[in-house]
Amino acid sequence: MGTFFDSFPSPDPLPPPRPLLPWQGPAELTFGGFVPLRAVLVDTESVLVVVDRLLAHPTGLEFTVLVARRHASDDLADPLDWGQHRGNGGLDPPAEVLRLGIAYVDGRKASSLARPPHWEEENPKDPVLVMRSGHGSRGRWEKQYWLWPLPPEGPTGFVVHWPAEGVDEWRVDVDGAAIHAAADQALALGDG
Amino acid sequence: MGFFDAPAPSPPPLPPLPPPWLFPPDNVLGAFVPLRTVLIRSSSLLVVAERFVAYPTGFEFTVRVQAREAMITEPMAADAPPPTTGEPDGGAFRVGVVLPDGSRASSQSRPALEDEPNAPVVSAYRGGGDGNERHQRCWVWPLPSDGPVRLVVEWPAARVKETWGELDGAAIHTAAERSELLWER
Amino acid sequence: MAFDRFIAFPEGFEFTLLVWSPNEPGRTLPPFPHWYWDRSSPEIPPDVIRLGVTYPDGRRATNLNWLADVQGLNREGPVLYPLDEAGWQPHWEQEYWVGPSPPPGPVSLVVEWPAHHIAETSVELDGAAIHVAAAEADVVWS
Repeated sequence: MGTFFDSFPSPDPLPPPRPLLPWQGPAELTFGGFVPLRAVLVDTESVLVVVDRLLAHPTGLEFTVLVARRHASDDLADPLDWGQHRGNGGLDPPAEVLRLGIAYVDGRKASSLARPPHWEEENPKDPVLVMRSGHGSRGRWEKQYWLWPLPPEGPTGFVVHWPAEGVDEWRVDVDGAAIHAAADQALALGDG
Repeated sequence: MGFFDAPAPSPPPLPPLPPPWLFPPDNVLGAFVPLRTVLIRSSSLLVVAERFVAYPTGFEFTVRVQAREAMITEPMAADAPPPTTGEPDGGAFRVGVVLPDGSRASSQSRPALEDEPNAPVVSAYRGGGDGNERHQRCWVWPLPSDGPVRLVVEWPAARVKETWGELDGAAIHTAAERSELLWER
Repeated sequence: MAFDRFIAFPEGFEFTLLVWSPNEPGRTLPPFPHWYWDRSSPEIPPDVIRLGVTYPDGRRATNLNWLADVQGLNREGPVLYPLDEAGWQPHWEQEYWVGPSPPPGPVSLVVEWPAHHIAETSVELDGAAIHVAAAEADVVWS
């Protein structure tokens, strides 16, 4: 081996990654309390949209959205990912995008169409709904969302609107008290 | 008014211009420089530096590694060492330059994000390839003065030993004058 | 938009399409059709760049047919095959492979970008220059 590269000092290690802000996801090593609820948002001849696997944390709510076409499909475009339909993230979402929203009992709302806050914003003004992970193709998708903050007690609305599927705006209320009861069962193993 | 009928959000602002020592400027039409430097040419391996593009703030080029038969299984690793340890990855691809004024840079150094470095920077910032071919796009900052630029590469994982070549720095320097500022940012 | 960085081979040539688009800061995907997988919609979004090449003998290729080109279904050619891409707002670069080598004569490159009201625009390449450059290609192994 030569000597050129060995003559440079090793750089300092990077600082550890910063923990997530509360609106970005659950705190590390915390496990949400299970909310025994399931909300069927869309159930048509062609497609099914279900909110399931709700896990409540003191700081917010995790849930999974399942989208399934009832018939064989070669549709590869994720209906929950605006960017896959139109690259310019334009101001008008196309009809193929499934709009998902949460209506808090106090009138506040969170929407999948809203632009997320700046990454370093510590206290966003409005509730935030972020997609954290997920997978799928060919007519079946599973997406995990994080909703911040935890909705207050009272009916909490899951709202859907999917123009391309002929689904007009539709709201299904779930029991906020059940969400709060589950949040009390959340388990924190981390420092915080 | 429907739930989703909120006023349309204003478009996000353009991201700031990246630090000039990390990437080519995104508001300049760089000048393609038809240079090619063969670093290794054997019966089984070809390593070349090519596709040079000159900017007022530096130049970019591609290091291409082509094996005749043996599959290269290793990815042409990232420029920076693993973030957790700070120790260089022994097998990773590295590229270095010696500018005409004698100043030197290696891709294993991690340049600062916020403060302008007081030494040149070379980064292997994007790569690709499959099968018997791998390539890395590299960026050198700043634009060297008019004179020979020495180039050095090493990729232990692909059995590429430290190998030196020379670039026509004058051609790069002259070409940069042909680059065009598209708009101020 | 600019065509740049032409490199000639005996079997064809490569070039890079350079795009600067500072007026769409919300763009998240490069403006090239192979980034769009929406096969459920026959309509091609207006915000992707249509690119085409015409050979002197009239044969043509378009990047809207990229899937067939990538899958090797377009045996007649020419193909317009996307290679490396790079970029982020507001600048994008996409390398293409065009092959087989064009017959002698002028080669046209054509672009259209409806979202930005860029009507079909074509530029003519010096086909002889491509052939001269290809003759200088160096076969490393055979």
